[in-house]
Amino acid sequence: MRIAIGQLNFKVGAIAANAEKIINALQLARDQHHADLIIFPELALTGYPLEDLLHRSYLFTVVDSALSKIKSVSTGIDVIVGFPEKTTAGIFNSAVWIRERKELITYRKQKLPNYGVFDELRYFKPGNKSTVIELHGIKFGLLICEDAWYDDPVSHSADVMITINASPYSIYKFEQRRAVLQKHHKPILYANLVGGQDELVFDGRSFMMDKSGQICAQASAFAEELFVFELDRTPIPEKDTSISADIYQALTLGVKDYVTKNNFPGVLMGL
Amino acid sequence: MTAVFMPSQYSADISEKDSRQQADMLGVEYQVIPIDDMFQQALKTLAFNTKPSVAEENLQARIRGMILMALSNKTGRLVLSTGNKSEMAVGYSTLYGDMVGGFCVLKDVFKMMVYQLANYRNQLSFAIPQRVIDRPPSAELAPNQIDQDTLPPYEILDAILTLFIEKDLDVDAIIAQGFDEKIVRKVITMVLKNEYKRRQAPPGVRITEKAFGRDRRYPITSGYFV
Repeated sequence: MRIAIGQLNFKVGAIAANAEKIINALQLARDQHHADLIIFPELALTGYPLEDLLHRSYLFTVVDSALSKIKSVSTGIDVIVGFPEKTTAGIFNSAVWIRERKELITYRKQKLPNYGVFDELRYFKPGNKSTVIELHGIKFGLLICEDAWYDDPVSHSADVMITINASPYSIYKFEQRRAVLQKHHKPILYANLVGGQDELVFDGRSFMMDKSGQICAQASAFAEELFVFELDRTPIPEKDTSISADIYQALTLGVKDYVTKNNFPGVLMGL
Repeated sequence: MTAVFMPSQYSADISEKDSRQQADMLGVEYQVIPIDDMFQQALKTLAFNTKPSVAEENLQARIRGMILMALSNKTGRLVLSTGNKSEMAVGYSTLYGDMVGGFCVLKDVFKMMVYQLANYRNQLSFAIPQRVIDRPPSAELAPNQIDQDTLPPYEILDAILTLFIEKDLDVDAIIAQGFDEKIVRKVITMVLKNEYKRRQAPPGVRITEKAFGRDRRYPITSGYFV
């Protein structure tokens, strides 16, 4: 089975433009890479974090129409997209699994981080149901970011876990992610956001891990990539990274995205 | 990108030489705007009748901030501010002076890591003159001034700041690790006293789990001292 991860640089609030990016990537994954499934990061449709934009009700009108557009072109490939879901019970941090233009299931994030830079309890209600979806005879469990830091959202019957993330960079974060995910002893597909958003820099580095915790495929760090790989890949050699190189890339991407996403024509600096 | 060098009577000749060389190597536009006339005019207008102090020093930084914002208004360009995490932590920076700007690239990077990054950058391609890295850091706001007139050596400062800010250790626990009590108390008092400045600082890229901002929220008005 061939999997694609849309490790893309989405802009917070630019929902129609993000939907275009998602549609382009899913068409490319289907038509050129012949992928069976494409996975997009947590809240890919809206960017992350939305902060108090989640208090604007019009946001959800735009989300609904963008989701309908994505569904309407989702044929010949399964698609997982993160989006904010407004219901009468509150707002959920959700992911929809689309198959042949139809919503197969909408999974709601169960563990909401509320420490460090995260304020998810300010906005979201927690979901309470784990899920398993079958594709070509393989049972996939679905998690959203913080869920994977705990045991209970993980479905025991799943053969492979998928986790969609908006996990910001900090020094040693990649090693932390690996250490936490290894504890599940299941193959894991980890899809992360990439790009700068105000203070935060998402480092991408999406990967596939086998059940022994070894990395079998890894997307680039701090760069967009339509990351395509076979599900039965075997472990690859560890990539060498240096802290200086990581920090340097984080700083340059953070500045570049702050300048370009806010449409500044250039920068000035006093020496 | 435009780099603006704004010399005063206290700027060393090598500051201009090195900054021009660095701008050339990176291929960025370089502009020189001396501040002496504006500084003298401001002193005349203010007519302080007291011994020169930090007020005169910071006035120079604020004139530079005003110039950068004027250029920003004229060109629409974003001013990047140049402070690092060590300076932000202890308030070794001038509010509305060198803290001016829309984005602070090194806000979450301690000074010792800034050196490490500078050396790393030079490995990719030579971009920063070695003397910029090697010479003692100075604000150049008073004759022969260096950072270490006011601050402990950066090796010690950064170690104390890491324990206090990133590890959340209390004073006693930091002293127990072998640091001089007077220095520890001085540094931590500076950190606590300067929350009001940090709260007015531009945002900057987060690279640690305790960046100033959402990761670390302290009251400005506070009776908690060490």
